[in-house]
Amino acid sequence: MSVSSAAAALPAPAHRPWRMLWLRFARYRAAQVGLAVTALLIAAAVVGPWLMRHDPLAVNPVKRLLPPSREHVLGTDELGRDLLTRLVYGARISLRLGFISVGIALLLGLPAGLASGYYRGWVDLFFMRAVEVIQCLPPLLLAIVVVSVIGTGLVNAMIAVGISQAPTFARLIRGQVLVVREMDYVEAARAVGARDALLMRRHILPNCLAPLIVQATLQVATALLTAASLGFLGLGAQPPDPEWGAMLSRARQFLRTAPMVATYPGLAILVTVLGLNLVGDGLRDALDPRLKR
Amino acid sequence: MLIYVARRLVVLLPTALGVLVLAFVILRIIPGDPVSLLVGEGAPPEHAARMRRQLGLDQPVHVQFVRFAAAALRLDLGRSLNSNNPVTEEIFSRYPHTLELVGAATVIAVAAGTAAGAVSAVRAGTAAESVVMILALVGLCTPHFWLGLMLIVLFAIKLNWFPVAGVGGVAYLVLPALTLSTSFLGIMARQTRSAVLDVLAEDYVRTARAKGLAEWTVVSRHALRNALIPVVTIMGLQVGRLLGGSVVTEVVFNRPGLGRLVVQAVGQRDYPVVQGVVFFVALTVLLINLVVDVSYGLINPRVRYA
Repeated sequence: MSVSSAAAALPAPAHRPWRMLWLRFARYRAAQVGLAVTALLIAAAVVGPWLMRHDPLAVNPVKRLLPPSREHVLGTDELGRDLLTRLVYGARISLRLGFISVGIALLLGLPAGLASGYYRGWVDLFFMRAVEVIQCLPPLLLAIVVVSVIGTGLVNAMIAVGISQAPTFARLIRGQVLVVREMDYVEAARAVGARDALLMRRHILPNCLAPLIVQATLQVATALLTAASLGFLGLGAQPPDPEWGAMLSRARQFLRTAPMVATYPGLAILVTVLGLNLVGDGLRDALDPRLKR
Repeated sequence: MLIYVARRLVVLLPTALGVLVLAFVILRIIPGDPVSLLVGEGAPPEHAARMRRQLGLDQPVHVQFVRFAAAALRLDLGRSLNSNNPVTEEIFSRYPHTLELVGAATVIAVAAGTAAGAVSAVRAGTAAESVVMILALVGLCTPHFWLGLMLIVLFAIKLNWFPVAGVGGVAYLVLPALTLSTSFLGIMARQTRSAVLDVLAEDYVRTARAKGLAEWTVVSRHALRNALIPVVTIMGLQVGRLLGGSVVTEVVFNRPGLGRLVVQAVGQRDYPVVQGVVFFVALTVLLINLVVDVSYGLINPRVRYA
């Protein structure tokens, strides 16, 4: 595995790497669909709430569990709140959960992986042993354990999911750095007197980015799923926040009378995760031309 | 072979020790004083002191750890703060339900996943391949808790084919096992497909075809068997993930397994139980990794246990 050379192997002219990437990416129909879906969801999360006529938290007992109508396109939930409005606000929460969790995971995993791969020796031994131990716990269980220590809630869910994903990034980056640090250009930079910090920042890290971007995209999808699971278990976002997982957990009690209330949030999660996965797969194919598919 | 297993076991020891440290640390990193949290604020000081003694928190940390580790080796993980039963007892009474679920999901995922993957590799470029790959991706992306609820609505409430929730005979196992298997199934199908595609390009497959073997024999005997080697690695990783996914599935289907136990324990701040579940799940994952390592040799004669 030397994906590291992938970036170097790109025949792209150095002055237009983004355009090359885009052309490669656009070759895949599935990736385009994924990008369109993801862009649409992000747009809904950003501007959607301004377009909604209802308040996602306004309770109205008279209107509980209404079927779809012109006023309420997807109907209402058990407290008479407009479902479409809640779903749109939920996109904001869920996407933020996904992206910030991955940000936290990168914040933790990147330095650990970089140090492990660069310094090797006991630093590597320490971090990789720790990663090995942590990875004995399935990510969802690890997130649950973290929540048991720091408590429930939206922010804590982000931290818990971030911690549960950090080992993946640490491992990935370490593997990349181990290869890149042996490259001639790193040797050359060291020969002209570049220090460790500069070497890592300017020469090693940028050449590890390709697989990192792919993995990060896929991890946003996983993070979103894990965070929604926490919400469903009552350990993540708390009601009345319209987080998709938490919405499902409430809707569960009305499964017999109003199964549609439980259907929509799950579909929303499925579509989002699917879109992000398609983008991730497309990016992988675009960034690593040697991959045969 | 035996020497190889023994050596793998020795390599596992530091990790197992790490698992112990992890379980030990949980109770110690709760913000604030765990004792006042456990006995409740405003509890009489002698009450708190007794709890402190009971948890061994009045000792220096290294003494605490040695005691904890020694007790854990005797499978003594303290008592549940909620039920006051030994934690090990609580776990042993739930674990069979979880293992049954994970086992059934694994069987479904491996059987259906390898078959679907092999078919889509052999029929590469056809509609069958596209359908399998799309289904595999959807399986990967579907949240377990939602799929479980949808299966309940359709097969338990509307069609009345299966019970809604609980444990009992095989009928109770079908929907949860299907629910839990989907992501694993999707991964198996994708991995098997790409592994079979790789192997089909090998010389020995051409040889097998050249000597006139039936296509079915070529695929099943020569291609699939060799393709399974990388797939087994994935399997080991995924069974661990199933243990995580079983948490949600058990809650959806009200199965009294380890997952529901840990969710309840977190809700009630029953830290000894959380600790115990961490310990046992991590241990299970370690053992699965060992089994995967050893089983390489059984399917791949090129691996020598030197």
